[in-house]
Amino acid sequence: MFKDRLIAGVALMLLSACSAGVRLPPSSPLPPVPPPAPGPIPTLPPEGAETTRTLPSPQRDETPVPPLSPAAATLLAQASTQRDQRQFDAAAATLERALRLAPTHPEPWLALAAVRLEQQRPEDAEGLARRALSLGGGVRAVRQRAWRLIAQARQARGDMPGAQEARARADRDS
Amino acid sequence: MSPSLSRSSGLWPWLTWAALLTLSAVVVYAAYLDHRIVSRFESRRWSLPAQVYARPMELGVAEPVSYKRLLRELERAGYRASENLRSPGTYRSEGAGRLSIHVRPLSFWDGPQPARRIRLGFDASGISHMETLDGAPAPSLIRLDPELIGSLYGTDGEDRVLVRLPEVPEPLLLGLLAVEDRHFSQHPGIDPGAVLRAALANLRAGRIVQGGSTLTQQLVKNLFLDGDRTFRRKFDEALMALLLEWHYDKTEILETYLNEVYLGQQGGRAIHGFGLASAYYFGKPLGELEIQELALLVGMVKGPTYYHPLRHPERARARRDTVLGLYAQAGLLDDAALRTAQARPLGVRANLQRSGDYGAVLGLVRNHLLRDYPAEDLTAEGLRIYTTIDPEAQTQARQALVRQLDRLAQRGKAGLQGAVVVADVLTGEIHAVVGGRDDASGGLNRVLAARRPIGSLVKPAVYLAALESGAYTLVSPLRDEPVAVKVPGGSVWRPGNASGRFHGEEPLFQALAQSHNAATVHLGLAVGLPQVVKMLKALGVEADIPVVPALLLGALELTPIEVTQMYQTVAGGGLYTPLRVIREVISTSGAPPRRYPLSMRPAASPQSAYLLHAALRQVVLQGTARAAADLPAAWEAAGKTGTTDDLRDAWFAGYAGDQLAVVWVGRDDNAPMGLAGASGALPIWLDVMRTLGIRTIPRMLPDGVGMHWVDGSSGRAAGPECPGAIQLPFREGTEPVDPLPCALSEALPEDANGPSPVQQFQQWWRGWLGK
Repeated sequence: MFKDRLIAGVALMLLSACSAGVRLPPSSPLPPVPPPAPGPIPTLPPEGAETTRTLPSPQRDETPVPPLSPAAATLLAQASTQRDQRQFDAAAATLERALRLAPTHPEPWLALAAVRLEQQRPEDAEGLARRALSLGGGVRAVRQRAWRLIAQARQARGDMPGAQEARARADRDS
Repeated sequence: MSPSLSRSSGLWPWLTWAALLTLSAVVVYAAYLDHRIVSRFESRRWSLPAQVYARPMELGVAEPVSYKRLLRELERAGYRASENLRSPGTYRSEGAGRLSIHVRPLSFWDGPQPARRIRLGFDASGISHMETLDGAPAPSLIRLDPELIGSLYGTDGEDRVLVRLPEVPEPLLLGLLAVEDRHFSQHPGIDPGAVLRAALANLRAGRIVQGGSTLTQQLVKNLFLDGDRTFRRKFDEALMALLLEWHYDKTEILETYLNEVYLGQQGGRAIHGFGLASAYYFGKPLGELEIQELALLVGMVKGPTYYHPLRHPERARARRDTVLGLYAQAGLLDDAALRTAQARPLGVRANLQRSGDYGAVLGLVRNHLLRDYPAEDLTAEGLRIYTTIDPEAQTQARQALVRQLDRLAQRGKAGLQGAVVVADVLTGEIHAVVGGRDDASGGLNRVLAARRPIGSLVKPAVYLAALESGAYTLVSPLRDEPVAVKVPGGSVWRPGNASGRFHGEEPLFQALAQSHNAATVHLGLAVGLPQVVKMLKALGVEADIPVVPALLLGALELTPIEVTQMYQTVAGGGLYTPLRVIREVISTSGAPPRRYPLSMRPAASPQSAYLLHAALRQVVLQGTARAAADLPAAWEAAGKTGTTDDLRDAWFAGYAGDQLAVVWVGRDDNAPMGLAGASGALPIWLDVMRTLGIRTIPRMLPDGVGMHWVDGSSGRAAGPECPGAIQLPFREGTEPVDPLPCALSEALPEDANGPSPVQQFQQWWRGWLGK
């Protein structure tokens, strides 16, 4: 008797599956994954430069910036597209994700500073550009872009002498 | 008129009236119950507490994630090993540092990420290879769904993870109906046959062994009625069950039941519904439970306390196996599968009873969210909150705290408590918040609410204000001499040093490195209290700041979180970045996600901030925190000790590489404990720092600042060849020019076992004065 009840229960379930959209899981949603192929997995060159870089005595001269990881580079490209489409919030969010992956690289900080200018947040922009200087101020191009952004941020805040000073600083590196 | 008619004309109207009255009373009462049911059902069937998640781990080539670290992360998120990787939430370790994962789907601000199967390879620096196993091109980056670290349930203690009927595994429904309500599909809300059978069974057994309640009745009982077993309540229950069935179809009732059923208790938190029960007992989503795990949950409906899998494992196991037997009878399991399932352990998380791991984190999250959301939204609207918390850092920080407090206890310092906050130097994201040995008891208060005097932790603000004024360099001579300050009320304040001695004239950075009080008071008074207060505010201190001379020595009460905010600005090169514990909030109602963006503003000039960093570096290299001097030089560890009157509070706030950590140690009753910042808090900080994965960050010299060799004791210009010479940053044109002949210093011993730098300094000082 109990078995009948249970079958009735199953019948209900199937019934409700049809009538109310209960989706029974297919027995095998995905084919099994084949076992790993023999042989070594190809590896990309490690990004050791970024983690081993030390600065016991900071240099002012031309110091190369380590390369971005592929993932961070992809995010920067994506943010650039979003910025071109004037999706500034999305671009900022993408850049913050890039920042977390490559926090010691000046590039995401500079890119985010530029987006913050578009978002009418000049204080943030100046702070972010300053961070880029502190991380990558050994590179002439980084210095130049950072000081230009600082100049724009100061101008947006109405600090004309400050903007002038920053612009002059940028020109020294051009 | 016939006699019968005349007779009835006497009695029948009364009977009719009585019947009508009774009927209308029942109708009115039913209408009242009906209204209660409909309004409850239509307005909000469940309160859905916000679910709080850790930060999602990012997987991509060159990300510094080791094989072992990823395995721990998978375990935390409830992934299980599987050979075929068929369902999401599984992984397969393939040896030689290779790992395949079927990543669960998840939704973020930038849209959904579907379930994916990926294979990863590792090398010494992290992930070296990533490919998909579905034939799709490999994305450069994949988020791993993060650990659920808790939920923000309300004072009623109701917690829940909503499940929709289509997501519910078939065996769960089947088992539930078979065990609890076999006629659910046919009965109108009550099942007289079941009542009768239950009564007979109870009669035969001589006690209550079976209930005749339908799922609908159980739901009504859960939703609308209190627990007393009166006839009136039974009547209400039956009537409401009938009404519920009249208004709503079976699938709606079943879905509500699945989310409402009570399945356990954890302290003040009630486990409602199978979704939360799955997360609570097994640490994974309902859809991923195996058949014996589903059977356990079905069996527990009858009595979550009686069949508790940890407290009464034998009972729970027997109950589970009974349900599995029903599955076999229904043809859902063959004999072999039944034996396999019955042979499996219960599989319940071992740390079920520990609730404290994330207590302070959840408190902090709630506090932050209350600025933007009404309180009832947090406990009812089913928000999904993605935090910045790194479960690995959280675990390491707590273990370090417990380890070091135990060590202190062995040395007779019992009854101590502590708090640790770990944050990212560059982004201000909070990685860990530990409010004590066990956050269940008061941990929240220790981190967020308990303001304690910060002692010498205030000093960097004094020195930064001085450096920012332009009138001081790192070697400006300060007088560590007795000082008397008239304070309002006519009394005179005469601060001394911890050592009880004064050190005479010394360079500015030494006064900070050795935490000399008198020198700091002289400096602070010269700079001006208002300037110090202004600097504290610029650094991010929002608490009330008393404008009194004692402020210069830390007569300022802050919580560990507030201290972290202040030191975040110091560590971040003078850029104030509001601490963040929440990245984004996703609403289930379709509202756009709310993000908490990174923001920063300059608080001090980069030049002064760099100079302060160099001075705080000296605290670690040769000052009060020299126990940390042997940390890797590339980390550029820097920080400040803090100790309060009668050794009631021990603090250390410091940063190394990209990690900032603040540690407080003291007693909950605020009694003296006999430990200073260096002896009480610094060991914990060191332990935390050594277990965190630290990334070095470049700190380029700001414009107009150069490094110069000076004598570490006198601050006079020196050459790199001079013993005791150190490099310090100076604004261009402010570096010392009067060189110290090395000959003078050569008289000093310089081997590692010689006198400490302070003693060296004193020896030299006396020698120089000719004493």
